[in-house]
Amino acid sequence: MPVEPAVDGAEPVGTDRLSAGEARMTRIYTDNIARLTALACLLSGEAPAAEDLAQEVFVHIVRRTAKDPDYLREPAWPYLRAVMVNLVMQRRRGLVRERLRLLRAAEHPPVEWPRDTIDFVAALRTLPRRMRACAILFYVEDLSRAEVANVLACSPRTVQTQLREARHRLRDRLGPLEDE
Amino acid sequence: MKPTGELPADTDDHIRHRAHAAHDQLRLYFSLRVLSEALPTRRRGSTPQQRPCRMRSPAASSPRQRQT
Repeated sequence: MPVEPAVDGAEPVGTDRLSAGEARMTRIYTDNIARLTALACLLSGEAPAAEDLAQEVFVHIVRRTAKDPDYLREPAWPYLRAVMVNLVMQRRRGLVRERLRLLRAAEHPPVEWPRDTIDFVAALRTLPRRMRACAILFYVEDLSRAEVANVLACSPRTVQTQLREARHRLRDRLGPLEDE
Repeated sequence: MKPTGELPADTDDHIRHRAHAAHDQLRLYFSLRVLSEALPTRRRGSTPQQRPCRMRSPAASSPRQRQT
């Protein structure tokens, strides 16, 4: 039985390749959605927006993969992370109304969160968005300064400067060192 | 000589420790949310035990009773 030709670069329907692609995307989604949402939560500072952002990342990934099946390579996490960071940066740059909604909602974090988590998210929220992204990629994702610069498309020198300031601010907000 | 305002050497470790702890908690929180949304929800009253009983007593529903 002949396979129908693809339209606009989309995968032909009913082929094994499409099924494999769907299965792969499902696996990537299942493996990464919680981690991605947690990252979005740190970047945006608010839980409901984080879930929206994580879904938006997968919408973006699915669209790109439909055009270029080799777009998302393994391991998928660096791609997901980069799309998320860029999405948050663009989103918060343009949507003033969304920013206001985030600020209001952040005053009421979920009651299930431990106090340390609430304090850390609140501390992150005091940082400007680029500085916050630098701090999260450096401290949470354990990227090097050069890797952070690569994700944010800026110079390592900029990352160095942003991290130095973030270090001071976070230490002031989080308090002195304790025996944990 | 350290420049003015330089923080202790273990400041990065302290922040990273807090960051990982918060991130782990958030991952757990969102994992549970994903799981709870994946599970089928059951409305109150939809289980057989909670469903309103539609059965009438045999006496009330018997044709003889309705006729009398």
